[in-house]
Amino acid sequence: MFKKILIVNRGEIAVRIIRACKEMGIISAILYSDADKNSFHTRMADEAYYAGPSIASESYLNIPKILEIAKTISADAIHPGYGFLSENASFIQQVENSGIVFIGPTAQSVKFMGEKTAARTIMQKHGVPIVPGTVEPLTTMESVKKVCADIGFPVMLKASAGGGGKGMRKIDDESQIESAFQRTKSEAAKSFGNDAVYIEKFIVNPKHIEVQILGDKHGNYRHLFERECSIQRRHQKIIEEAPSISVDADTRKKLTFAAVNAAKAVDYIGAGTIEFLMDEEKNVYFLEMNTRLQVEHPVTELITGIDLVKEQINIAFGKPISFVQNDLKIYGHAIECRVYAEDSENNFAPSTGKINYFKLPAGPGIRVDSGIDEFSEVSIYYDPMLAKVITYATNRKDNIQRMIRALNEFKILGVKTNIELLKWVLNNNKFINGTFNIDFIENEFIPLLPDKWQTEIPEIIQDGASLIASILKHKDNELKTNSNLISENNKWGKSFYE
Amino acid sequence: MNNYIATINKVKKNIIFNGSGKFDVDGKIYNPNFNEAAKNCISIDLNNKKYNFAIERIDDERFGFLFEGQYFVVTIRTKLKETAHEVIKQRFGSDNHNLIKAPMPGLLLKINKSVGDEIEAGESVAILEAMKMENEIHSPVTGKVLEIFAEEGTNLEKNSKIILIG
Repeated sequence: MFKKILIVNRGEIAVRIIRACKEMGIISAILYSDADKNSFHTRMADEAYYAGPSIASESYLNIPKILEIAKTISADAIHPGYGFLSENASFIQQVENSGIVFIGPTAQSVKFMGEKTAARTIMQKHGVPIVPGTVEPLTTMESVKKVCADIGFPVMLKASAGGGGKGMRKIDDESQIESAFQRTKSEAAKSFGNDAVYIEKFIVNPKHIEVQILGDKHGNYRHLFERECSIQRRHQKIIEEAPSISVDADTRKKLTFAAVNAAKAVDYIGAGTIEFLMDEEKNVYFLEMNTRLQVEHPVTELITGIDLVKEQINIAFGKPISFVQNDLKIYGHAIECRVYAEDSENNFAPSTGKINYFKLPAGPGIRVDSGIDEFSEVSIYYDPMLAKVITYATNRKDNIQRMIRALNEFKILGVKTNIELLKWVLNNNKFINGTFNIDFIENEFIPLLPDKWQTEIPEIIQDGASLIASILKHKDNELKTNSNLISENNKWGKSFYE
Repeated sequence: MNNYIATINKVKKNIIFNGSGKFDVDGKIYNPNFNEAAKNCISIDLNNKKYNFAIERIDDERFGFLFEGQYFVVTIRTKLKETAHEVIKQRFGSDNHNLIKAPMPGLLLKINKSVGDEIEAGESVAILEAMKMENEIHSPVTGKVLEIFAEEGTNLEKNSKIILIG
């Protein structure tokens, strides 16, 4: 087995990988920037090496520096975590060239999946369903009408040379074709100098469903079922579940079959995720592949019992995947809530500061992957995700209650967090009955801002807080006047605040 | 006798106690038990039920309370101070003034308003870049821009003044 792994990441995922290394008897080495000199992950690793200034481009993304450190400390392998350099094909290539093992796919696989249109073509070739539409440019109204009739309304009419949301139009029925076609054509000609258009089916109210896969160096592929990731804000997931309430056995078969085919199509090695859109009729369409470990991997670990990080390390070392497909079953239900330092009421703006109180939830069925502790400072330099709370129970209904209990126990002061929003989602009927889609936060939460979403603070809680505040303030005043109105016998007079 | 006024989300509570252990909150009598469970963590027994709060001191007269994921601020003043505060507020209308500060350190990309401009509650005041994201800062009140303290293109510390609306 590897003797030493260099982890090129920070925060909770660095901690997650350090923990796997410790359990496997591998020395964990970590990089740190100025801002992370005293961070939780830096303190937890066996070895920590200074990588550079706080700004990521000069530390966690500084490829020459990282490779130099890896060689100097004789690391056998590099684990990239997620984000940063994890999907950078050029970095992976340089690691491969240096003789150090990259824990993840080959540079070639990453390159294939990184070019999204090329990926679409490869997927189609290998029987993975993509969003239906044309690949050939259309120039006449007749051809547009025919394609619309073939794939069904609504459709998206897009400029072949377009991008960035420009030259795009939704068509709901036949009466809109003519004007949409003319306007998109002329817009495309003006904006891109090319009036060719193509058509893609508009997926109505989709869910984001993804499938975890593993591939090893011996040609084995496995899937680890689906994850439901539709609860998103700013196009970033905040609550994930496994299994999905909306995926039945047939759909699961379809999804996992497509996912394994997608992995095979690019000779994928390691842990990867195939993302799909699923429409209301449970049709699934390939979206993209994430060629790395996902933030939400713990929900899959809890329902399958498989340690994905250990699998990654073993696969990179050359071992085969530790289980066969038929041995894998879904046990119970898992939810992950991402706790972010942010202001839910103010466009989810990041919140920074020094943590001055920190207490994690515990008890049955609760796992917390945290990147911070009570000594941490949340800086402006990195992603504001503080911790992931993951709960497990035999069924979804019980598990939602367990997650609410866990979030109630999670106490953090010093930065604003999204815990109240997470609780709001968990109590929402559409979330509970499963009828949500990727626009849930946009359609259900945003319209309630600024003051129609919060639950009233119960009277008794207001009274209790007021009483405590009055005692604390009273103590302040006492100290100032140095009087001794509160006798020793009164327990509330005791010094209970610093 | 001690008399304090607590303000939570603009609602005021009148608290009276004299050292006997009995507390009067707006006419309701409590016989509470306070316990310091840990630093910044106080529990209170009210009517035989226990409530655990995590508490932070914001400044001389404000405390932040966290209870089961819900965070709120309690402003606490002696009755005398509260009365004085009300008088000042009435005379200078200080409640209609709103000083917008940087919620986080970052680069001030843009200020959308000039002195004298009318501004609606919820309207974007400025754009602050932090954590690689552009964050819009919105006005909490409707009013007129009275003063601008920060310049576009400068780096701001957390809580530095940006704009005064009145």
